[in-house]
Amino acid sequence: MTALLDVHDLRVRFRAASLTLPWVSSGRFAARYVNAVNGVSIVLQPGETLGIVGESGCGKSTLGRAILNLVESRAGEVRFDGARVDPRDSAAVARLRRQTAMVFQDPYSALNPRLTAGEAIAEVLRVHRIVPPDRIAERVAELLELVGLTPEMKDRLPRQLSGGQCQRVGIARALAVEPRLIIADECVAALDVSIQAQILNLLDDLKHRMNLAMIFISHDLGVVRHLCRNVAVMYLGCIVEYGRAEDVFNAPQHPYTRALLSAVPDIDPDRMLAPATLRGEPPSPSELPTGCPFHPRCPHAAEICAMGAPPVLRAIGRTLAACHFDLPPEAIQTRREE
Amino acid sequence: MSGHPSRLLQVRDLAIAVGSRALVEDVDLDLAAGEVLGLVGESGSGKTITCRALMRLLPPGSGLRIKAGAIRLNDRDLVPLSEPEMRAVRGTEIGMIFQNPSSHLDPVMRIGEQIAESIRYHEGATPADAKRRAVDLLRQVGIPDPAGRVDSYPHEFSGGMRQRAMIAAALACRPKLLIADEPTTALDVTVQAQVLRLLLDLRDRLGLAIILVTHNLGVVAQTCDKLAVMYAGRLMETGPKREVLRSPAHPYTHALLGCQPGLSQAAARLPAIPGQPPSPADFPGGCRFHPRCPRAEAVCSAKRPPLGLIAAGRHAACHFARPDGAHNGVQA
Repeated sequence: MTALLDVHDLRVRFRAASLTLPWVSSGRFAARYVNAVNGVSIVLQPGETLGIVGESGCGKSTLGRAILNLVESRAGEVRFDGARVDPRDSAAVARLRRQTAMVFQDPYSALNPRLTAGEAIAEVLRVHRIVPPDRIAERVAELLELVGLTPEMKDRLPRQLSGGQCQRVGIARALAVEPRLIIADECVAALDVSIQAQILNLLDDLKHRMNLAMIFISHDLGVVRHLCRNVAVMYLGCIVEYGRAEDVFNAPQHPYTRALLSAVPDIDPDRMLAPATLRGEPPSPSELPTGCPFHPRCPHAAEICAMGAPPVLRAIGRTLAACHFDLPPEAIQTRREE
Repeated sequence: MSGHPSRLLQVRDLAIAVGSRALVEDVDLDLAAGEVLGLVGESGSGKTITCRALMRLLPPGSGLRIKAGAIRLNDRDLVPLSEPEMRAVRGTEIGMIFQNPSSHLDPVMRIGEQIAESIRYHEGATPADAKRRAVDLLRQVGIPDPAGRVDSYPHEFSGGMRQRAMIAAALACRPKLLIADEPTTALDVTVQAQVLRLLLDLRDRLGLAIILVTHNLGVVAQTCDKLAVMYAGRLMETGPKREVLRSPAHPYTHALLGCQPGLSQAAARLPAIPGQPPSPADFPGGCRFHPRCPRAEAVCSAKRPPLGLIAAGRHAACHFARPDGAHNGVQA
């Protein structure tokens, strides 16, 4: 089976806003760069759901955008349905974007405040010429029903809708292109938990009904655990652990994944607040540490960790982890033991 | 219900209104020294304006005012106090920290000066003394190299360090009560764990009472002693943390706990709460949760359930509340 999406060694670098002159290449006024994504490879099968988790600044959103060529990548390759997407070939990029769609975090700012829900969805149908003009109204009604809104809502403006309803319109717009892949970037982060559960259930339904592949980008580990079959953990632009969600969550191998999981406050009132296992905060992506990007904060770091190239993903336990060491099982704090 | 020696804060029948429309009604809260109370609710439930009312800091020009009720801090009612009297209470008796430290720290003032400012204002300390205290406070909240960082500006601090600096400023004049409004919502989980740990340490070291406002039930479960659940401007349930989380008496608390995706269980359908929270313009009659409640009967839309005692230390505002949560079909 051909993979639906095959991303190989993708790298994205932004120029930091600073006083930079084109003829100055070193010293105080030289251009500085933010290395947002540093060699990420992922493979997505049709119908698969991949969660990308990590803290702010780890590059997870940039990765999602770079896959759709919404930001320019510096190196690497994206193959969709077996065909290479050349970022300079606008026809190839357009083909990719016709089969993929993005759902954003803030449902209000992702919609045009002057377009009604129906017009916002019809716009997508018209631009991509999905259905003949005389069928647009009918299709808009179908899409609204698909995402759990009534067809009468088509005349509402975004300000007349609640956050959850706006996010449903955003999802309807994404589904309008009949995509095979949806990239959802923190799409429930702005919603209250009772509404969040409604949207998660909707995404889960749609995924099964339409055999959608989904890249679900989130900082909320519980949400990813709930929705995704596979998960990739990012730190400073690199994937540090990659595997089936239940393996990564139950027996994490990378020290960062372990620290991240132990820091999530559980709603079990008998579990005490875990001691803060990680000191400090992630370093700035404009000054990457040498060696393993996590070594300055890692409780298990040894001399080798600070040297050379970052460790590559390799099979440890039942997941892939980018760490030089196989840490002993007793160092793994699974949530079940406690 | 009064005269208890350990009672630090006692709020009774607090109502906050804009014009004639009540946004928050009948809020009763009790807090002893060294206790952490979690105030939980979704956006628009009134938890933030309740906290602002406790500080008498309802935004001027918004038309919000305290319509009724008493806020007794150490047996003194804060509601009738004048603004100058209130200014002495803020900082020295109640400190407050917010969700977004960047918007509550002055960007063009050194961190140390912002902490020292209240010490000089409230206690008349000399600049040198105040600065020494600021360095000490930064050390207490875990800022590395406090003597060096006291002269930094907020932009030179990371998000977690800014929140620590705001905690230091809030505690500068040794208040006995700290109101923390979503203090970790803007932080990453590993940093959130550090800040929560710090708040608990300060509670242990200083005997600080904390009101922790949050929408995150995980944070409540790991840090609070007791909790109060708000919905549409009213308290739905209050009680000790373990009992409320283990066997919620109110259907709303039960539903809220049910729709949290957890880390341990495999993917299953989340029991979502249908519909959405009402806006203050059209709060439903009777119980405000009844349009979304699976347990609702005719009485729920007709008669408003009072926040009644259901077991020792536990209150719930539901006609069918039982302390074992049995009406919800959950095992206690």
